[in-house]
Order: sequence, then C-alpha cells, then structure tokens
Amino acid sequence: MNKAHHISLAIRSVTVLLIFFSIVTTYYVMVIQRDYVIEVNEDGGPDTSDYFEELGVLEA
Amino acid sequence: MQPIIDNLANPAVCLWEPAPYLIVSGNIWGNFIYYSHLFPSISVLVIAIFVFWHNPRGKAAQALLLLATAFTAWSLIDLVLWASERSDLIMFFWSILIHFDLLIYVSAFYFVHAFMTNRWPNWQSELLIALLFVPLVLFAHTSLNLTAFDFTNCWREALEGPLWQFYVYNAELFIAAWILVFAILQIRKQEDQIKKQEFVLTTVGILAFLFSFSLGNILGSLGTDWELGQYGLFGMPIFVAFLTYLMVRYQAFRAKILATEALIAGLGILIISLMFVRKIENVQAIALVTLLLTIALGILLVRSVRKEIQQREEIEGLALRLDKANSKLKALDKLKSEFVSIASHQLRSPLTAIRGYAAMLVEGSYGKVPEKAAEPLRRIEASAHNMALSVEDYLNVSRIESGNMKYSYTDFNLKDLAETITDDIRPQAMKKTLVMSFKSDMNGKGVVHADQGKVQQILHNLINNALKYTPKGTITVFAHDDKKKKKMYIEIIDTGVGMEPDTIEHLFDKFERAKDASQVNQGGAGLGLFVARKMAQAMKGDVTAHSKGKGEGSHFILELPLAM
Repeated sequence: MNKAHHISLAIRSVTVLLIFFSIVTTYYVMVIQRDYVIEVNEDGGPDTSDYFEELGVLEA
Repeated sequence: MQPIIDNLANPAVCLWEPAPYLIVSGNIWGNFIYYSHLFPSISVLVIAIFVFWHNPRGKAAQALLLLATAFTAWSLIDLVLWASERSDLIMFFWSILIHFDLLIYVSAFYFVHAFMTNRWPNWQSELLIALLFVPLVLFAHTSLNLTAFDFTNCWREALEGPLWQFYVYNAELFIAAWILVFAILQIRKQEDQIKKQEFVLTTVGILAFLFSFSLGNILGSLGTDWELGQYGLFGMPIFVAFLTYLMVRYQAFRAKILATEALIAGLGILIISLMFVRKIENVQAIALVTLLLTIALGILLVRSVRKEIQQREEIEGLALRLDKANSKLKALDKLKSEFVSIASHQLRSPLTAIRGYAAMLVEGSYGKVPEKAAEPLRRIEASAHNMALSVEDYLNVSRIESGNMKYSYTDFNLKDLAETITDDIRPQAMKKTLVMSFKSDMNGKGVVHADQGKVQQILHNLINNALKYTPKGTITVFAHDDKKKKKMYIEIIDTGVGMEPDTIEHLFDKFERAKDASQVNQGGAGLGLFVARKMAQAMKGDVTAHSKGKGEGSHFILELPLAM
C-alpha cells in the first residue's frame, strides 16, 4: 500500500460521501420542503388536449 | 412550500394514477418503456455479476459491476419518472439522476482503463474525476439543475436547467473523448495482436453504448420527446453483445463458459420481458430484437462449441495413443529388467571364477608367478572385482524395479557398524594420503531396525564415493542420533571436488553421474547412489546429498529410524 493508493482511496471515499450528501440534501429540498417552482398556464391549470389525445389513442 | 400535484389533488385534471411501488403504475402509457429500461439493465447486470463472481479481484470485473450498477440505478430512477404521479418525487428523482448520468461515464472510463492496463487510473486522474462531480454536489438541489416542474400540460416533466444542458453533457463529452484518446494510446502501444483486437472491440463497444445513451438523453432534453430518448438505452445490449463476443472469441475475463451462461440468461430475460408488453406490435418488435440477438450470439456459440468439441476429440485421441504407448513402454521395461536380471546372473558365476583364480595365482597357490605376469594378474583381479560390483548394482536395480528386493530386518548398532566400515576402508584412504576419521555424538545406543547387509552396502557405497572424489584432505564419518525424531544419522563429510546445486538435483537418478565425475573416477555406471537411496527409503530412511559448490567438498547423510 503506497502513498498514491491511499490518496486515491481518500478521493474516492470523499466523492462517494459528497454524492450521498447531495442526494440527502436534494431529498430534503424536494420532498420534505417541496421547495421548487411549478410552472402553470395563465388560467392556472394544465393544457390537457395533447395528453388526452395520446391517452385516447392508447385506450382505443 | 408547494402543494403536491398528484392524482388526489387534481383528480379531474389529468387522471393520473398512483404508483404504489414507484415504478409500477398505469401512467406509463408507452408499453415499450419497461422493456427498454429493464432488459438492458438486467442483461448487463447478469453478465457483470457472472464476470465478478468468476474473478472478484479482477479490476476490470469490478469496474464492469460498477458500470452495470450505475446503469441499472439510472434506469430504475428513470422508470420512477415515467410512473410517478407526484411532482415532489419526480423533482427529487430527476434531480439525483444527474449524478448517475455522470457516474455511468466515469465507470465506463474506469472499465476501459482497468481492462487495458489491469490498473486503476492514477490519483491525479481520480482527482479530476472527483472535481467533475463538485458542481453536481453543490447545485443538484437548486434551480440550476431543474428550473421547474412543468404543470402547463399533463406530461409530468421537469424543466432542465443549465447544469443539465450545459454542464453535465459537456463533462460527459469530455470523458468520452478521454476514453477515446486513452484507448488509442493503449492500442498503439500494445504489441500483442490478439490484445490489440480485444482493445479495439472494447473501445468500439463502450463508445457505441455511450453515444447511443447520450444521444437519447440529449434528444429528449432538447426536444422534450422523452419517448424517443428511451431507445438510447439499447446501446447497453449492444455493449453486452461486444462483451459476450470478447469472452467467446478471445476468452476475455477468462470466462468463456460464463458467456454461454450469460447468453442463456439473456434469452430468458428477453422472453420474460414479453410478459410486460400489452400490444401485439410491440411483441413483434421485441421478437425481432430477440431473434437478431439470438442469431448473432447463437452463431458465436455454435462456432465456439464446435471448436471445443474438435479440441476435445483431438485430446481424447492423443490420450488413447499415449495410453497405448505407455503400455508398450511398460512391457518393454519389464522385458529389459528381466534381460538385465538374467544377463547379470549369467555374468556373476564366471566372474566369481575369474576373481578367485586370479587371486589364487597372485597369492602363488599355483607356484611362483613371474614378475612380468604379476601386475597383469593384479589388474585382472581388480577389474573383475569392479565388474562384479557393477553386476551387483544392475541386479539390485532390477530387483528394486520389479519389487523383488528382499529385506531381512534385525536390530543392530549402526554407530558400531559405521565405525567398523570406516576402520576397514581407512588403509585405502591412507594410500591416497587422506585423513579418515570417525566421530560420534550419541544420546542413546544407536540401535536401528533395518537390514544390516543393505545398510552395510549403503555405507560402503557412500564412504567409497567420498574416497573416489577426494583427491586430498580429510574424510569424516560422523554418527549421531535424535531421540525426538527417533532417527539415527551417519554423515560422510569430505573435502573433495564438491558439486553444483543442479548436479545434486539429479544425483540420485538412475545412470546419473556428477558433472566431470569421469575426470576424477573413470569407473561407475551411476547406479550406486540410486540403489543406496532406494534401499534406505525402503527401510523408512533416506540418503541426501549437500555441497556448497564445486571445490567445496560434499556432505552425504544416511538416516534410519531408531529401533523402538
């Protein structure tokens, strides 16, 4: 086990920990806090025409 | 805090269905979605686990498992995005998808590096890779990653921000270019043509996968047609096909047989995946993919099996011929032993007469022998004596090989026997101006249970050898015992010509004489030590030889078990 191996191991460990931390933070922000923007049309509701057209084709 | 936009909050708006197991729901309107996500994931996971199971310490196997895991995680997360009706879960999973997207590229680089060099990248490269993740870690949860949840329509999509559109795709492009440059350098450096072909196939396979994967994502991201994006996942089965070909054709990962198992598993997965499909058009598409893969891999497999069978038949043929040749050799060896035995017995009787009459003539039993005739008579006697010894050796070899050597076991004092033999041979040593001495260091009496006649023969052989190969100096016969090991040892230590280690290795082989032995001693057929060791071993003892090298003297040890 040389010095370079230990440095590599440290870099990998820190990277994995940071990614894990980022996932936990994202969960907190998006699922618990629900801190995100919702884009809607001017009337406040979604445009359903395309969706139902596709859905209708599928149901048929 | 935003309200959860879901089926319950908006029952009449989009008619979304709940997804109780995250990836299972009626919201997935494209029937191909499960197939395009699960089949590539399971196929690469199966092959990666097989390879890893076969060689868990192999770095390429470890990197392949990392790649398969990252890809499977990506596919499952993407399935959640298709299935879920909850805006918060879609925003969460879409946000963290960016980590797995980059991880797939990073593990692809690790795989190529490990496959071509059997090493991980150096720490500087690993640091660079870690730094690529830093912006993702810092901004994955912010609007730089996803700007908003799009509720202007019912497609349940997030709007991707600059972290996706400008950063991660460029980072992936950078890694793909890195893989390409690294692979080209390794391919150019590689001299082994087979390895070179393996490297080319691996590079083409991995880049085809990455290109297909990214193209699907970029098309989806730019055009927001995510249904088109799913076809990018089929880059993975293409890569799996490359891996399977590498295993079958080049025995990559030393896992040829595993490729067959992986192929069978892959076909099973394809057939099972038909159960997820509801429309007949899609069944036809899957059947076509299955057929193409089956034909491609089946051809490889059939060729491989045919080659295996041919090789096995050749080996069986060779084994049969070897067996016959072995039987013939055994019969010839038996004939040879019988011939040597008969010839030796026939020689022994006239030799005894020659020796006896020559000795009587020299002693003057038939009157005074003229001076001129005395010396030739002595030579006749000496030569007849040497010949009798050789004949005895041939007979012993014949008896040992046929298993007819008889041993008469008695208890006798080995120390006394060794001392007596040393005293008998000392006059001959003195003629050569050698100093021959006997020493002992005994804890017990030194009584052994063995055939006294055979032991005497062994000691005569060893001490006479020391006499022959010691032009000047000393010969010491040293007797000692080891009560713990219940062994008795006679060591014959001389200051003679010595031996090299490679000579000692073959010294006890039949008809083997030490290098340059003929320069010191013309006689001898190279049977004495062979016979001595075989006899000692038959009496649960041994004879060993040691020397520090040429000119450093020799050291022979006879060991025998002490009498209980």
